[in-house]
Amino acid sequence: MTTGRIRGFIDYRFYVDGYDISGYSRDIGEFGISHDDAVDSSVTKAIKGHWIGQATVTPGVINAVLDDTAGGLHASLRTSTDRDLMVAIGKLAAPVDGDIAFCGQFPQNSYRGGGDATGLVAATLSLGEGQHGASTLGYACPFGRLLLAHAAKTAANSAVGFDNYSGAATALGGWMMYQISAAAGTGDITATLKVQHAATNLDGSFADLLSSGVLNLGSGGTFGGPYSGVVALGHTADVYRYTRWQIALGTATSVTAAIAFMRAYVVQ
Amino acid sequence: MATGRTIKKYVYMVIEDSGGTMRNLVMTECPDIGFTDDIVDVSAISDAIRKKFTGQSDFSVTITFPFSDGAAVAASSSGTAPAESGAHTILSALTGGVTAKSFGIYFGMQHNWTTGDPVFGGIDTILVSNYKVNGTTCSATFSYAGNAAAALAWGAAAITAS
Repeated sequence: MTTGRIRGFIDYRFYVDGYDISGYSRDIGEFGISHDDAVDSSVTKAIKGHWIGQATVTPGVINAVLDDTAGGLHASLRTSTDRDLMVAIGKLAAPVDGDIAFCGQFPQNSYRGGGDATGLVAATLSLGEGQHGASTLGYACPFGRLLLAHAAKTAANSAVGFDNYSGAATALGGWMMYQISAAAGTGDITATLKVQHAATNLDGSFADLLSSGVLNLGSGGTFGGPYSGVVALGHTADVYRYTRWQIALGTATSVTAAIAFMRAYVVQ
Repeated sequence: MATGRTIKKYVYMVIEDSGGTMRNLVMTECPDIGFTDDIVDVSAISDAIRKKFTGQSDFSVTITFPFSDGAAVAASSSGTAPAESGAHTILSALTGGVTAKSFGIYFGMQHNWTTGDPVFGGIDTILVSNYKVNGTTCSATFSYAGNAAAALAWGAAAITAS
């Protein structure tokens, strides 16, 4: 993992409800978080004061191409419903473990096809602001660490983890999102995806922090997904300084997934 | 120390990070920094010319940075070029926080900012309410905190952490 400035959309990747739509996507509009601004202009104040209010997370619009390949964006995401979005952002290369992630659970506003200036038939996937109504996530921290860049995994992780932006442990909770685009095995295909944390960045120091629980990803040796999901800590949960991904394969022999952890740095 | 005019090359930002350490951030454009003051119109219809008072001041600014997760590094000292910490590294951990943070915009006069050059800011004065990413840049909104410990002001000394 390198750190530093971002080259551009060529190093972005997009995952929605377990689908890897990167091969269909061209860019994404502005995304991030904003808070209501309550202005305190009491008469004794020479300078008006501002207070942080309710948060709104904006996912941006994904500009893509209309392509009806089975399992692609058009075939899978053209109907508006609640969506799990993960944007992975690499530096001078495709995202790798430890890069930046932006994640959230959003209501889909629209899916539209139409021509663009070049004549290509384009598609736009628009997700609404905030969290979708059925989400129980309760976290206004959409930016996190891409602990596992989208890849097929066939064994547990023994690598060291990644530091966080404060360089210290936190006690404000956090949440994980996973996106699973493929899995293999014989019979039922089960696996558990986890985020682990440690106070010292050594393989043997890591302990489970968050777990998807046992996921049944298919039967008869056939993948039943894609799948995505979130798991959240309590808002005062301790999170050690370093985090990493982990997998317990169960009956699966391979799982292709991405995992991100969004650490809370401010009170939720 | 030179005095007079300068160029935006010598303008940069300092901010107190989530751990209480001052960091340098570099910007993609020179922001318009300063107060916006209410203007209270007290004119009577018979006045030959409208009469107005200056009212309360306000401070809120959105600044754009290179989108970077570069490591947090020690802020530069007087007379040296800014030591860039990644804007994403610093700002994504501050957004939404309710603790006022130290903040300043340094205007180096024809050279890297040196003590005595203009500064706008203050100790424990601002909150970060918005943080957005747009391709290769990110932007954040900084506002004077309702629970600020001091006033924002123009000065000529380095801004320190609380």
